[in-house]
Amino acid sequence: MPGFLANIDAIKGKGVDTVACISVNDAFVMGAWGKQQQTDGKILMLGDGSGEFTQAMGLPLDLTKNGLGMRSQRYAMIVNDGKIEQLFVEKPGAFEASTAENVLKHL
Amino acid sequence: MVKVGDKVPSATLRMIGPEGPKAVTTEELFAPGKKVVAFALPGAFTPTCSAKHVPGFVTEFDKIKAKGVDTIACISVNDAFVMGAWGKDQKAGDKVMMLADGSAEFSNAMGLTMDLTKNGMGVRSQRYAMIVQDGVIKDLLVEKPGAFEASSAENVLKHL
Repeated sequence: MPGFLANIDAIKGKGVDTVACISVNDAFVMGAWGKQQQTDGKILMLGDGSGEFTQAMGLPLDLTKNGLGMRSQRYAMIVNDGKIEQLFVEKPGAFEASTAENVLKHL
Repeated sequence: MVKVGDKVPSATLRMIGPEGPKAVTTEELFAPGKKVVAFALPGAFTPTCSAKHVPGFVTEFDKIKAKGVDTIACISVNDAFVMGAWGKDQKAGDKVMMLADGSAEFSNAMGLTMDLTKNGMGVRSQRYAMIVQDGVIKDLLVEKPGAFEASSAENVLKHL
């Protein structure tokens, strides 16, 4: 999250209209998190509370045994005219492909 | 659904600690010799829960403790990180244990779930409060859908 905040101007400078963050949490939690991270006006904080979007993407992650239920894998994508142009799915536990820095390189 | 006189079902809850989430089993929480007030709600940071339910227990903390209650616990189908952040936001401090039932294991075992999938919230817990002595449910105050009366700190106090 801080990576996308720090790079928001550079990303927008590449002609990106919207930067969105999606998580299997409800809208109340995403709103509170956005407030804490000061994303207002920069990143859309979207709740996928029932995992509907994540399931449709085919990118869920079962953390039931960790007390986190069914969540989303970590990934980033670049979408143009509704079409996925780039999809960066992280390996389990990794944080490289989906970073703001890596996304920037592909814009 | 569990009823008065039942033992609290076995499940593992989680709570944020200095080193991240740690497991809290219902056997530890509702141990023999302990009197516990536990209240459950549909979600952290949601309007009724944030504005009324948790603040009531924080405000009435001293009175509840004076009735011989060892522990006050708040349980929600959110993860330990969310419950930890919410506890901070609510200044629940060391008054109310903020317990996460992120996979709804406990809520399912209690038979007190609520399907909010269509509202984009997945399966959550119904709103209720209970008084547990020696691991046995002494009072179970389950709210009607949308209501906030039976499980309030004020009403729990009347039953202690």
